[in-house]
Amino acid sequence: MNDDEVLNAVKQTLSDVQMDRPVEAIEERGRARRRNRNLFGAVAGGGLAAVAALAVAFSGGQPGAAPVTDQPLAGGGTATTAPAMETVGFTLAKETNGSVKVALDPKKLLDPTALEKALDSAGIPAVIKTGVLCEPEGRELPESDEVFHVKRVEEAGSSRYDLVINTSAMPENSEVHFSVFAVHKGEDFNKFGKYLVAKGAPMNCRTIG
Amino acid sequence: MEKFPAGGKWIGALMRKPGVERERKDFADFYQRSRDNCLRAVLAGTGDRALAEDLVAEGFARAWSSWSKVSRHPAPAAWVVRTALNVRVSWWRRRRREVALDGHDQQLGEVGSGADASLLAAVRSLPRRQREVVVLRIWLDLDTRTVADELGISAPTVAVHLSRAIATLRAQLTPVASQGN
Repeated sequence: MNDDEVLNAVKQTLSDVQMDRPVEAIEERGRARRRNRNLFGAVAGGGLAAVAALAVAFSGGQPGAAPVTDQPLAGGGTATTAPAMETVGFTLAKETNGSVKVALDPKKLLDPTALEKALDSAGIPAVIKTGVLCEPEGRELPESDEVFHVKRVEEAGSSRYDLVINTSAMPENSEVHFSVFAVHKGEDFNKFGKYLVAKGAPMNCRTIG
Repeated sequence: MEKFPAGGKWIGALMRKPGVERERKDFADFYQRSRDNCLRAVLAGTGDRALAEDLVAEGFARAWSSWSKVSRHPAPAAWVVRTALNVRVSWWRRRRREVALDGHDQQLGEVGSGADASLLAAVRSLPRRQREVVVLRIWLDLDTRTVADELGISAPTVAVHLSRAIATLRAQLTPVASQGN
């Protein structure tokens, strides 16, 4: 085989692969990026105080301050806020070893407050954000790998991933920080970002999709 | 009948609009023309279909957000591919902490099978520079000079990388071809 034949053979391996994402989605993402760039430019010009204010605005509710409720640990529950949300879209279950399993239903809207309360009832301080991805400004706690385990579950021809939280491995004054978001705008929440951080640790949140 | 406002603000807006529309059309044409090959190039480098799509979308979005600059680039598609592959590193760090809720990624994740998969694996196992040269040459159809400019290396160095990469791939391809006989 000469060089061109080799290159052509490699080229053929992906000849049926096509990018079908609409240009409108790309443009919207580009515009959002431009807006963020302008925002960060404005923040940088505004000095440290502006950065601090932004961090407070992004970090949302005070961790650990969510009121304790009688949210059942297993079997999900009903939404108590926002009438548009017909279900909370999650199930919590305690495993025999004391770990807590979180299963999210990507087809239902997630009520972050309800999930925070349910996790709090299970002894897990948590901050839940939807529609954005939040990442710690500093480093994640090193116990993270012991605390989080992901289980693949096959059911009725489809698969999902459940998150198991090993509460006994969580250090004192730590909390879990979850972001549930759609990779592509307008789709269901189909990704789940998870971090183990010190309580109140500053997070950087940004819109995805 | 509409009145024109005092001052040039409205007139300025009217004059800007055709320019913006032209930019959008240029970008849409570029996207239409290049998207498949950019995806193939990035997919060859990553092996993960869903990740490659996200990376290419991000690459194009960044191109659009800086279109006045990227449109003047000698090989805008190469800019998109390079950007996508650079973004991959930071996304890899991020995605370690993500869980796909519905197996979305896995449904898209399979790329090729049999001989094709082996060949793509061979491309991915090439040293980084060789892989970049192969990807830009094969899927973006760039000549040696443009590849050299894009990678910031000399044209003879590109030729050496390409030659070594082809030798490796040929060795992979020959047994595959003979198996098929």
